[in-house]
Amino acid sequence: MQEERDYSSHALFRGIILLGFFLLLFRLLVSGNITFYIAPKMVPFSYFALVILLVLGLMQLWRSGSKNSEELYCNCGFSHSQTGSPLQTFIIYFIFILPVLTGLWFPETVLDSSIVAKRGIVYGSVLHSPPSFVNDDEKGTSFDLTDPLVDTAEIEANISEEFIDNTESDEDIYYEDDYSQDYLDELKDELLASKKIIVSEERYLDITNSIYAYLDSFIGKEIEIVGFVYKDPELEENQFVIARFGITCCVADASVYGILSTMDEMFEVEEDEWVRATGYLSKINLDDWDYPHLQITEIEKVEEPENPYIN
Amino acid sequence: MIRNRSLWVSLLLVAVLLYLFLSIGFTEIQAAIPKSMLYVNTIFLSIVLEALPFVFLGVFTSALIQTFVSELAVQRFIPKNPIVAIIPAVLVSAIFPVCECAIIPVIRRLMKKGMPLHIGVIFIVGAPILNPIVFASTYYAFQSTPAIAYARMGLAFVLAIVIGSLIYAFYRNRNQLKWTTEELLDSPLQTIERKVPKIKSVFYHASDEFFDMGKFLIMGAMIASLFQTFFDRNLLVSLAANDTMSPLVMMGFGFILSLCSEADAFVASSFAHTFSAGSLLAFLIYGPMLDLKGTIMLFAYFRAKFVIGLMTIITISVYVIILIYQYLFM
Repeated sequence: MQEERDYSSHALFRGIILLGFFLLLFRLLVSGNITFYIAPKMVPFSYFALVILLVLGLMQLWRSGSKNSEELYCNCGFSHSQTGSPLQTFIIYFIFILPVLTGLWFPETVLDSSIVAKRGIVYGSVLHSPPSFVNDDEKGTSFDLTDPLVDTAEIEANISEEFIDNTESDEDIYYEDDYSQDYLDELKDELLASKKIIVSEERYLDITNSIYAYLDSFIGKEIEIVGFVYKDPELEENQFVIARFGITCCVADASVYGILSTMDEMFEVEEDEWVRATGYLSKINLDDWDYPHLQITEIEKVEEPENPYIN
Repeated sequence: MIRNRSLWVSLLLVAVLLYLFLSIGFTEIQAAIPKSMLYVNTIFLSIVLEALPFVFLGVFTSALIQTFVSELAVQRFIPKNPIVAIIPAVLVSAIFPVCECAIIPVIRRLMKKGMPLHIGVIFIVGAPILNPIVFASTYYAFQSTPAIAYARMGLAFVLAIVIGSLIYAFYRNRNQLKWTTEELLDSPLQTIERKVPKIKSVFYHASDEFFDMGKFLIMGAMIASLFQTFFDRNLLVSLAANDTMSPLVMMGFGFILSLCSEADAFVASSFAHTFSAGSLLAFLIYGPMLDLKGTIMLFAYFRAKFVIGLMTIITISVYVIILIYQYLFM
C-alpha cells in the first residue's frame, strides 16, 4: 500500500512538472519569445513537444488518481521507482522544476557585448573563413579560395560512395539551392546594380557573404546596416563593430558576425546600443587578411529589432 | 500521511506555476538579477528547450520498441557474427538522422532486447555525426573548405568501426547496462498486455523514461551554460600551443559545450582563423561522440566502470586518428 501511494504521488509530481513545461513553452510560443532561445526553423519541433507535454502531463495526473495498480507500475523491464531518501527525491524533482521556474520568472534576455568579448567575432562572414588551412583536401582537388563556392557538380563527383544517398536528401537540396554559385552571382549583380545596399535582416548572411566573397567589386558602394555596437579594446577610439548574433539551432551555438566601422564625426555611441549606420565600403587589413570596412557617414539610434538574432 | 503531504506540495507548486505563468510584468526583483545570471539562464533554457522535442522523439521510439518489438526480432535482425555485424551497423547508423539526445534511450532499449554491446556503441558514436543533416550543415558552415565536411564524415566512419571493434575486443558481449534486481526477477510483459492497452503503455513508458534521463540532460545543460557564459574562448588559443596540443584542447572544448551536432559546425567555423583543420575536426568529431550532457546520460544507463572505459577508448581513438590525419594531409 505504502509503495502504491509513493507511486501515485510521483505520478502527481511528474504530471505537474510536465504541465509546467507545457505552460512555459505555451507562453513562449504564443508571445513569440521562443526566438530568444531557439532559431525559427527549429520552432516547429517545439509545437510537437508542446502537444506531447500536454498529453503526457494529463496522463500522469490521471494515472496518479488511478486505483488500478497495473496503471501505476509501468512494468517495462526497468525500475522507475525513485528509490532513495526524500531528500534525493526532492533534489531530482527540483532539477526538473528549475528550468520551468526560471523560464517563467526570469525576463528574456538578449545576448550582448559582454558575450561577444568571450566568443570572439567573425568579421565578414563565417562562410568564408580565412585560409589558415588550405591543403587539407583529402580528395586531392584544390579549391580556389578567391572563389569559395565551388561548383556543385564538382563536389557531387567527389563525394565518397557512402554519402551519395545522403546528399539526395531534402536538407541537402535546401542548402545547395540556397547557396549555389548562381545564387551568389545573381545576388552580387543585384546588389551592385542597386544604388544603396540595404543589409536586410532576412538576407543578412547572404548579403555579407556576397560582399565578403567579392570584396573588391563592392568597394565604394554605399550600404546601410543595423546592429548593436561592440567596442573591441584593440580597436581605435573612433572604431567599433556593428555586430549581430547569428544562431543556428539555439542560443548556445550563437556566433557573432559584424562589420568593422569607423566614424569620424562626433556622435556618441554606447556599447550595446542598436544603431542603423550608412556609409561606404572599403577594405581593412587585419592579421594579413582583408576584411570589409564601413566608413560611416550617417548613423542613428534604433530600437532593438523584434528578432535580435539572425538565422 | 504521505499522500496528504505530497498533495499540499503539489497544490503549492501548481499555485506558484500559475502565478508565474500569469504575471508577465517586469518587477524590481527581476531587475535585480545580475546580467550574467540571466545569460546563464538564457543559454541553459535554450539547450533544454532545443533538446526537448528530440528527447521526446527518443523516448517515444524507445517506448514503441519496448511495446511492439520482441527480443527475437531484434536478435534476428543482427548478424550472428559479431565482426561481420560491424559494417552494417555503421551503415545503418548513417541513415538515421538522430542526435545524441534521441539515440541513447533507443540504444539502451535495443540493448536490453539483446543488441550486442559493441553494436550499440557504434550507434552511439556514429549516428550523431554520420547523418545527412550534419553533413549538410558542416558543408554549409565550411563552404570555402568543403574538405572539412568530407573529412568529418570519413573520419567518423572510420572511428565508428575502430571504436566498435575495440569495444568488442575489450568487453566482448558482457552486459554493461545497469539492471536492478527487480528487473532481473520480473518477467513482466505478459501481465501488462492484458490490463493496460498497448498504446497507453507506450505513453507511460515514454514519460517514465523522460524522467529517467531528463534529469541528466538538465544537469548537463546547466554545467554547459555556465561554461558558455563565463569561459573566455580566447583562452583556447593560448592553451593550444602546437599541433599536438591543439586537437586535445578543441576536444575538451567540444566535450564541455555539449552542442547539437547539427549546429556545432558553425561554432567551429568561428575558430577557423585560429585553429588548424585537424583541431577543428577533433572538435567536430569528438563533441558529438562524447560530450558533457551525453556522458551524464551514459552514467545513468551503463555501469560506471564501462563508461570510463568507453570514454578512454573514444578519446584515444579520436586523438590518434586526428594525429594521423594531420600527419598525412597537412
